Amino acid sequence: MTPDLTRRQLLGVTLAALAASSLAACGPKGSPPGKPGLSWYGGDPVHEAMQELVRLYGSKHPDVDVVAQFSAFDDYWDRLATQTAGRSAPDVMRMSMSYLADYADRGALTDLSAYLGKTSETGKLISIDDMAPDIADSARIDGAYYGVSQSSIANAAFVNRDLVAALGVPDVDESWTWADFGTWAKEVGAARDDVYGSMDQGGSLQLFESYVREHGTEMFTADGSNLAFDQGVLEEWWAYWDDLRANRGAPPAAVSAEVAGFDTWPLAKGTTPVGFGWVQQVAFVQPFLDGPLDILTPPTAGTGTSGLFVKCLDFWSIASTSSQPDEAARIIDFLVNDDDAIRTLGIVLGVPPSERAIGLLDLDAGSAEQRAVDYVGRIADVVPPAPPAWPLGYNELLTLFTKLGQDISFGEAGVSDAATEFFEQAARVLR
Amino acid sequence: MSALGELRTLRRQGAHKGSQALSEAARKEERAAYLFLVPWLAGLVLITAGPMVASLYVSLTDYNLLQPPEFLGLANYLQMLDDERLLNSLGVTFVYVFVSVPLQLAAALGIAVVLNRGMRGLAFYRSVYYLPSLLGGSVAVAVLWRRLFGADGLVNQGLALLGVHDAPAWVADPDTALGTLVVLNVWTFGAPMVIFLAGLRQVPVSLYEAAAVDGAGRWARFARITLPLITPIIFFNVVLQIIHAFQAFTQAFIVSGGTGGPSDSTMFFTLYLYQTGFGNFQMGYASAMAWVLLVIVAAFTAINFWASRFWVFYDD
Amino acid sequence: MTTDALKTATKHLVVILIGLAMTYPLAWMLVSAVRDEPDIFTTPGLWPVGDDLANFVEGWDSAGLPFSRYLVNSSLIALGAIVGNLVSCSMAAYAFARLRFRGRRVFFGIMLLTIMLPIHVVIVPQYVIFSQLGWVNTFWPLIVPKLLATDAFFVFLMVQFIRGIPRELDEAARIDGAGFFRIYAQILLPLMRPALVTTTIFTFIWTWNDFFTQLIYLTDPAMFSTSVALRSLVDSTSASSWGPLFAMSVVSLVPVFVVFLVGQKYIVQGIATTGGK
Repeated sequence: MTPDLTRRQLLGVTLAALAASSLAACGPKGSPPGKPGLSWYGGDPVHEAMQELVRLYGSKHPDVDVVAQFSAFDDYWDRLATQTAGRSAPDVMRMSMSYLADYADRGALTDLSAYLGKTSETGKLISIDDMAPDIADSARIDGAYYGVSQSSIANAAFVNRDLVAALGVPDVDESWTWADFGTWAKEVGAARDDVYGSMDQGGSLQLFESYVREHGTEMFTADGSNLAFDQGVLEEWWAYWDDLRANRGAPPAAVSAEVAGFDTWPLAKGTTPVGFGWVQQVAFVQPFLDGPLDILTPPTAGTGTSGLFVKCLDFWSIASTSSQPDEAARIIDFLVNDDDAIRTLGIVLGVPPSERAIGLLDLDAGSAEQRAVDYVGRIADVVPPAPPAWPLGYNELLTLFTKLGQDISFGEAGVSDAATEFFEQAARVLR
Repeated sequence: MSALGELRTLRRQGAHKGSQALSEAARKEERAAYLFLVPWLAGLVLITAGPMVASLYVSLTDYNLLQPPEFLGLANYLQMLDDERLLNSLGVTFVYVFVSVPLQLAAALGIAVVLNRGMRGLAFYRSVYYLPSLLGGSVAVAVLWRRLFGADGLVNQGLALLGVHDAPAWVADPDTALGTLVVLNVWTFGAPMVIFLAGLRQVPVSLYEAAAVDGAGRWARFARITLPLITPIIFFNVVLQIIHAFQAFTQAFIVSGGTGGPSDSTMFFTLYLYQTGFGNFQMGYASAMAWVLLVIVAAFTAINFWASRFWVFYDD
Repeated sequence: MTTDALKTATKHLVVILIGLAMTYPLAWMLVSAVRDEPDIFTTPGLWPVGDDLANFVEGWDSAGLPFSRYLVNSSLIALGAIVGNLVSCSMAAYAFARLRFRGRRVFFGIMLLTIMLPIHVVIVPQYVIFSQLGWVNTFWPLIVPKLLATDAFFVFLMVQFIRGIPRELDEAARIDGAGFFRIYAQILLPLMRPALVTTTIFTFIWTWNDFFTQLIYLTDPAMFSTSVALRSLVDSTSASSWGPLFAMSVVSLVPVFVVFLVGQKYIVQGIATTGGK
């Protein structure tokens, strides 16, 4: 291994790398005309419904051949990031609130302001007549619109009333405060030695957001550059769940750590009578239980303000490198407004984003899906305005929050240390 | 072996005879070598080297994948020293490498020897023992592992029959989760087993016959004939399994649902690297991590190669 | 005689017992494939065996196309990769193991370095290259690298095997006037059959099971490989189709198992050629 040789190798290799990186700098290529790309994430029901929509669009627009791409949520982002880096992102893409700011703030998405509007306005390709303002504005960042809402979503508590009755503990209703709930959950845990009060939500940043809002602030400052709440609120939250775990109000750490999908939810296994999640998830847990799950608003701090909100977390966005944004906009309009499209989708993407769309659905009365739709309809007008779009770096904080919650539950970190760590990391991540 | 050694010496002496003729032959040999290497060299230049050096450059930048990289210098490398999760992931990875590689190779070699010859139904057994490796990183393994090593999984049910009732929820306990991944790795010993088998198959039967005539016992034959002859193959497996184990990703990713949990106990270095690069859009930092890993792995490989002079016997 | 019989019986017993432990998970997978979905997670043992073939029916048509399409795609990719690895890696291995040339050690070191960098940091620049070539959504990004011996694992494997073959054999051929290519093709290739078969088997299995690169490069459902199609069935944010997933996992396991079953026979036969030396 003479130094001469290695140096020469390095030189050659560097040249190759230069070639590679200069390739990356090439201008946008985009999709071929008449063949716009459309990509989404989800499970098999989503894939089937969406492929049907692609066929439907093709039959209504014979000159356009939509090229579909799809994968499961976790895999989707690896591919999308790679494609975006290679300037070949699909024209229309499903975008999650968790990543919206990551993509939008870095110029990967088109500002849709020019396309959004009333049907009556000319040149507005995507109609948002029917959407409630909170839903229509969900993907708004600094005055620009980076996505069109696919659904309306809210936090909810799922209650297995059959189990509650069988345990002989008092019934619960929506007047519950976190304090009541804690006492009740411990009572549940004491009733039988294979049951705990509630699924552990210590690591749930999403439910915690509602909690924060009940303490007078949003989770993030308006410009998304920092956390807006007091560290004490977080310590309170984590201490609350620590206390529940210690008193059978929530399962021990190892039980919660085994959760890996809806099939392993303690609620699904009958280990707890209460679980929490986004309202449409009730439909994914319900198949594992015989009796119907009841959907309640989560407990409140009892301060009189509700922290709940209804907004949208999944959008249709257009890549900033799209070579045919107009066609892309037409596709999005079709996906959210076409009657046939709405009927085909049903609620596979969540509760539809508008009253009109909900009205077009023909769900079985009493089905979990119908209950989810009812819940959103019931609370939409009474909850306070939704928080702004989650800021850049949200996904990183989401992962960190869960991890820190887990550290506390396993006794690997103290509540205040973990809270300090979260605030330190947030200061680094948020800009 | 001594006869072979003599031949080797003769050959070396021959090689130094007549330098004029030699250089002509040497030139021809070198030309042939490069010709044989054409596909590999083309692959290196066109496919492998560019992205590798690109990642080395990216490791010196702030690169979020969506915007052009911005040059930072060594900041990413310095940041690693303060990153507790990274240092933890390095620790997890080292434990995994040093526990699972020896166990897996011992299992693979032992079973390859048993399944080599002298039994009926060998083909069947070999296939059965390879089955787990076919599953590899399939998503089904995730469910399977939770069913086996969960709180109410099969392992604990078995333990309960034996009277052990307070066994942990193996996959969900930070103290034992990494252990289940080691078991998973050992369980999928099929690849090194097959390589060992192929190596054993190259050992000439005539040598065994000669030794049997000499009255050597089974262990003696294994230690004196088999083992030395397959040292190149053992060496190969050691080197490659260490390289692979340092880059272990799929199984931890699948079993932990991508989190490296519980509580980072299965957060392998590459898993953290992946989360950093793709989840947090810090590809610059992730690339720096990758190059640190490369240096570590290269160091281990170099040590392996150096140590191989003392225990690996080549026939050439 | 009786002790011998006892010994053989014990040996078989041990091999069978370990074998059972090895295959339990697979048996569980088979059983799960014919179970109703909630039962997959609530029934711990192998009993009761389900008899519900609906998972196979549903799984076969999941992701929009018949599953046979993905099986064919995966087979094509694997076939290309096998041919590529066999030809290119054995050529490189011959050069590294037998021929003297300047830079041999450096090149060998570089070759090993290429497999030490995690795929996740090289996939983006690699994607850029293949994307510029217009190869996204074709099998080329998955096959061409194999044709160019980028899989150092197999080059190294073959080097080790060639070094286990006595040099006297090619030396003798050289004295008989054979050129380098003839030595490679007619002496070494036949002698390294176990290594070539091993390469074939591993390339097939690993290509079949590979996920990440296939996810990145194969975006059109019509181009999906089995692993990409399978993974699209399991989604952490919505309902996963575990039943169909298990059913199709079983289906996609059949080809790899057959390849292994056939292939291992040839590894074993290696003895016929090398045994006599």
